[in-house]
Formats: sequence, structure tokens, C-alpha cells
Amino acid sequence: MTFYYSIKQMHRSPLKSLLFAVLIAVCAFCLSLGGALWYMGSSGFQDFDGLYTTIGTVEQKYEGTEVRSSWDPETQAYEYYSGGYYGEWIPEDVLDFKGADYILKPRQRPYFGAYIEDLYHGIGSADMGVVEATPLKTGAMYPSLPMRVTRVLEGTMQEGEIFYLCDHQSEEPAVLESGKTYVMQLSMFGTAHGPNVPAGEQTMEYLLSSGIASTQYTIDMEPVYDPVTEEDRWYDEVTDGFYETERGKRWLALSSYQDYSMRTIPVQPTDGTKLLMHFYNGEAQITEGRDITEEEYEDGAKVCLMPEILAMRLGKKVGDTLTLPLYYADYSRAVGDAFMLGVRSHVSVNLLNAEGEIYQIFNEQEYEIVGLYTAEDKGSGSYSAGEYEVVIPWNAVPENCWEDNIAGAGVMKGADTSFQIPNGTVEEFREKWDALGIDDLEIRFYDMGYTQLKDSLENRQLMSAIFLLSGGVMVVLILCFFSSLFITGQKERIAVERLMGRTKRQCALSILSGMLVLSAAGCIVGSAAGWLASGKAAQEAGDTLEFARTYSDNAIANTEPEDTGEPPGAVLPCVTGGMLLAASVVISAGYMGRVLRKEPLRMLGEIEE
Amino acid sequence: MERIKVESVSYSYQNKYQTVEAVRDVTCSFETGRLYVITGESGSGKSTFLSLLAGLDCPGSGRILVDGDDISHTDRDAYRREKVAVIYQAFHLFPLLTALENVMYPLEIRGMPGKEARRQAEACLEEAGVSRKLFGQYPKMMSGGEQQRTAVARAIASGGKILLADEPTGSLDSENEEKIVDLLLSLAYERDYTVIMVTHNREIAERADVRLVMKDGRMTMEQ
Repeated sequence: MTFYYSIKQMHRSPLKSLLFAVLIAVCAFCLSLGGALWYMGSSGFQDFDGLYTTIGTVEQKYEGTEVRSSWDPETQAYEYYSGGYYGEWIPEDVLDFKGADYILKPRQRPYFGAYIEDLYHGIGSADMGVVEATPLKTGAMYPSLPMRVTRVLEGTMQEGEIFYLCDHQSEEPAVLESGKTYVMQLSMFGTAHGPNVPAGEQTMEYLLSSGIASTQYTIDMEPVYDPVTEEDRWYDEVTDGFYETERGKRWLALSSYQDYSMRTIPVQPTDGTKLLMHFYNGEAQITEGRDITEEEYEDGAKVCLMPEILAMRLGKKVGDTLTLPLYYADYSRAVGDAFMLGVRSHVSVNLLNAEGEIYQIFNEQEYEIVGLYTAEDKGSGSYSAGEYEVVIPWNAVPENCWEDNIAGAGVMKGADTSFQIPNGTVEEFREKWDALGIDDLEIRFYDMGYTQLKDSLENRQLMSAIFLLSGGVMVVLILCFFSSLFITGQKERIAVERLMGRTKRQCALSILSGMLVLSAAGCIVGSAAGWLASGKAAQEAGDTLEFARTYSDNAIANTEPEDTGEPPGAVLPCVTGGMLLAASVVISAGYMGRVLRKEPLRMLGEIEE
Repeated sequence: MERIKVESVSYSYQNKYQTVEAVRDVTCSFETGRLYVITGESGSGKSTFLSLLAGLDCPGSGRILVDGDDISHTDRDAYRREKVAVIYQAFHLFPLLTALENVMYPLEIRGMPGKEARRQAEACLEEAGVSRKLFGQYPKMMSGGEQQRTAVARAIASGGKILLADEPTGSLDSENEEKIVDLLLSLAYERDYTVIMVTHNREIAERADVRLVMKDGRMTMEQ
């Protein structure tokens, strides 16, 4: 009966009731849509945080430029060119400044050389070798000087083989005397030339390689003293007892260079796969197995990623183990430079330490192959993957255990020094970094377009906040207005009902039930409309985001589109509608309580007055 | 037969500025089948006294016995629902309900089924002299007299035998005033109602069986 009369009252003031229901529906729509957009925005942020990675690369800048010269034997003149030079080596510690919020701290990564016995089964390389040879006639090493091989210490040259030796760098090339035997490391260069080459003969000439001089460095990037380097000579005359001398022993040691060179693969330790630019920019992609997990990186698990092609050569597959005997570390070049993709080149550092011996293995462990990857060269230069590059967690190798095996030193470069910061904090980081006033390092950030997408997400958040706020304000105003209209305006009815013996609760129910029915109807309609609109908005936003990702991150292409920016389902509109209804109850009950506190006869008296 | 006994009732309330002693040590009684009139200046405590009789509040001291029961110690909502009815100067009919629905309302509050309520409401309206053609009319469409008759019908329908009337003729012309007083007298004399009416109208007061005068919260009987 109570409900019947309440509805009847509402029915008999249709315009007011309809207006109330419509306004509540509009509020519910705003709140539902705003809530859904807010939810989508928030979940979008979370998704993006998972899918996007913001990294910074660090490169030490040149301190200045200098003019350099090189002798050109053809023109018999020096050629001059300018080149940059670095100042003092800057350690990575300078990046550990107050306020720097790193997910992964910056680290200058060397790559390690690992000796893989099974990698190579050939007889050596024809373009390089260590030989004893004697000139066919006494002469300077420019133009090409004919030599005969008298002994092969390493390589595929044959004893008695004639080759041409040439020095393109010295203004006064050394003279080699006929009848004397010299030991030297050769590398094939170009076509032999000059009067010593018979007319019409097309044959290759060789240059001297740096040979026995060590390039060992300390962990602080200081060169380790090597007495051999004091003598700037890249060959030696072989005399009786020569191989008993310091230099002689080094030549013997160097004779295993090619063996090491052909069996060496680069191993890249890192704190995260995405810190390696070739993985970050999608040039390298995992094709089988999985990536190394954050926990594995942190715990230093003995796991690795290896190139598919290396796995094929070694007969390995995901789940197998790979033993990595690490014997040198190189800071001088990024792995992509030292082991160019697609080129089976020789090791680019001198493998002799300052004591004249091939570097000894400093760490040997078994790694489980958790993933295989393929890499392609997209012209990224230093940022490319290295040929046969194996990726391992930085923490898998004891810190600085390679300090006595540093074969090359160099400053921080973008390709070997990187860090990760939380998405969306690039500007903040930049401001703090700039405040330090360190100009010698250049930091570049890569965020896969996150910043742009973040703006769009923030706009969506702002829009949803406006919807929510306006919906909320509207709700309060509308409920206050209509509560006043329906309740305060019905003081007379309330007073009379009280005088008829109705309890306060019955009076409240009598007045509020109709209003709450209208409110519920408005909530249902508005929330449903908001839900439908949010679904449509999610669809539109999803299309836009997919488009953006296609060009920002190859890895994300593998992600199911429905994983991100999902509308929150029917729960949120139900919750929104429920909350709105609850607000109706609270506000109207508040008004009702105020009215019911008054004494009915006095209330009627006031009305009569 | 004594229906209401008021014993040394006092009542005060706090308004914005002061404590108002609205009713002071009132003692009186009301019998069945009689019409009582309470007169007095504005602010003399008439309406407050009426609200105490209606069970809307409890006396600060003293007691009000209705049929021997102290209403302060009974369910006052039930008391109002079953024993007392009130009519007002401004009628206070529900504007969005028809005359018939207005009268059915208290019946249905008491849990009477719709059909029975309708039948009884029609009887009450007829008893109050409301023309049948007005049963479906909304209060706004009726004259003051018709509205007050409907209000009396609603009071009859409420079932209480104590009828409290607060200036019931204040908004009526003399013809309708007369008719309403006749109606109230007939309820007292023929149906054993105890009718207690607050009025300023001297002529009406003279038709009452007992005239009470309130002044500064105190009540005296005027013979």
C-alpha cells in the first residue's frame, strides 16, 4: 500500500518525476562512462608499464677534435684529417646521482670472449697467418715486396709459397734483407702492386698485423705496462735462440691466435634483455623458448639466450646446456662492432696479455639455453647484435672476475652502456641530470613512443575525471534539489501521515519509495548506457593503440590486443549504479530525517501560516 | 463517561531563544459524546495541548490517561492510528489523491484490504455529507467546505473516537462553518465521539458543551 501510494504520487506529477529520472540517468551515464574510462585508463597504464620499456643509453662525448695525419705512399705525402678525442675516462658511477630512479642501473658492459672448442673444424683462414718468411730480394716493404714462406706457425699458407708484403703506413718503410728470416703476423689486404709484381699478375698482398704487442688494461681502464710495446716493430728477425727470447716466446704464443679467433664467440652479460638495443628495437627477436626472466637476471641464474644459427652449428636446442669458458673481456667496442653480424671475422683485440700469453679462462660455467633468437642487421651499426652473440645475466658471472683479462678499454658508448627507468619519467630524469651539470656524457632515451601514448591516456584519464566529477557534482545537486522537492515539499503529507499514526519509518518509506524507484530506474538506464558507451570507447581506443604499437614495438605485436584497455565489464556500471542509488538513499534519508524531527502539528501550523 | 483525563500536565520546549512553557499544570477531563471547545490567544498553548492529546509528544510532567491508560506509556503511533483523529483549518488533504483515496488512506494504513477500504471510505464520505460525484475529485477541484467534509470523513475513517479539531472552520464561510460544526456535533452526540475543538470563533464556542480557555499555558473552564 505504501509503495502503491508513493508510486501513485509520482505518477500524478509526471513531469517532475520524469525529469528526476532523466537527470539521474544522465548522472549514472556520466559516472558509469567516467568510471569505465578511468578504469580503462588505469588498466591501460598498468598494461603499458608492462609492455613498454624506457631505457637510456649513455655515451661519453668527445672532449674535442684534433688533426691527425697518415702517410699515403702513393702520393708520397701525408693526408690530414680531423677526428674527435676523448678526455678522461668517466666511470659509470657518475650516473648514480641523488634522485635517479633506476629500475636497472647504468652499467658499462664489456662483452666476453668465450672459447668454444666445437665451433670450428676447418684448417684455418687463408687471409691471416703467422709465418716465417724471407724476402726474395732485399728491399723496402713498399711497394709490394715478394717473400717466400719458410715456416708456417699458423694459417693455411704453405712452406715455399710466394706472397707479397706491403707497408702502407710508414713514410720510410723498413727494409728486409734477402737471406734473413723474419717472423710476422700477416693479414690479407689488397692487390699486390709495384715493379716487383710481374706484369699482368693479379695476386693479393699482405700487411703486417700488430702482432705481439699486448693491449691489456686494468679495470680502471689504465693500460697494463708491456715492455714489448716500447719497441714499435711488428716483425722480428729469426736468429738462433730467438724463440727463447721474450719476443720469440710471444710469437709462439701468437701462433695459436687463429685457433682462438675462429673458436671465439662473444658473450654479452646484461641486467635485462631490453637493455640491449638490438632486442629493444626488435632487430633481435626470440623465436623459440623464452626470454630470461627478471628474477633470473637478478639471481644471476645460469641461463642464456643464443642465436638460432649458433645453436644449429653446435647442435643445441632450448633446454640444452652450453658451457662458456670466458677468457677475455673487451670494453673497447660494442659487440656489434667487434663481431659484425653476418661476418665470421677474426677476434678484433690482441689476445696476448701483458705477460705475452694468451688470456687464461677466468670463468667457465654451464648455462641452460632458455631461448633462441634471430637477429638481422638493419644498419644500426654498433647497436646491432653481434655474430653468435650469447646473452647471459650479468650476475651469473662474479663481479669483476675478468679484471685481469681486459683486452680492450673504451669509454661508455650508447651501444654498451644503458639503464632502465620507470615509464614516463624521462623528463623528470632529464631535469635532475641536467641539474648536475655534467656535460661530458650524452644520454639518449628510448621509450617506444610511451610518452606520446601516455599523453593520450592522460587525456582519457582527464576526460574520465571530468565525467566522474561532473557526474558526482550533478548527482549531489540533483539529489539535494529533488529531495528538497519531494521531501521538504511534502512536509504536509508527512505531518498528516504522522498524525494518522504512521511511524517515522513508515512515513520515510512512504515518501522515499517512489523516489527511490525512479532513482533506481534512472540508475539502471544510465549505467547501461554508460557501459555501452564505454565499450564503444574501448573499441575505438583499442584500434588507435594497436596502430601506435605497430610502429613502436615489435614485441608488442605478439601481445593479444584484448589484453589492454579492456572495458571493465558489467561490474563497474553495476557498482556505479549501486553507489548512485546508495547516494540517493543517504541524501534523501538525510532530508527525511530533518523533516521527521519536526513536530507534525507545529509543521502544519507553519504551513498554514 | 470520562474518556480522557489530564492530570497536572505541564510541557515546555526550547525554541531558538528561550524555553517556552507552553502548557502549565493543566488538569481537566473529556467525556464521550460531548463537544469541547478550547479558546485562547495565539501562543497561549492551545496547539501544544492538542498535540499532547494527539500523542505526538509526552508531557514534561503530569499524565494524560485515555480510557484509563497513560498514553506516555503506550505505543503512541498505535494510539494515534486507533484512537485519535485530527482535522485542521487547512484541511491537509493529500493533493495528489482523490477524495475517496484520501479517506481510504487511513483505512489502508490499518491494513484493511482495498475493496473493504473503498466501501468504508464511501460510507464515511456519505456520512460526512460529501456528494458521491466528488469522490473521484482531487482536493484542488473542491470547495473549502467540501474539502473539510472530506477531511472529517478521513477522520471518521481513521476509527478513533477522539476527534481533535484545530480551527476546523477557520477557512470556511459561515454556511460551511455551520455545517461542519453540525457534523462534529452529530459525531459527538450520535456516534459518541469526544470532539475537542480549538477555535477563536465565539459563536462556535457557544455551541460547545464545555468551553475551556487557555492563557499563558494555563487552562480554565468557562461555564
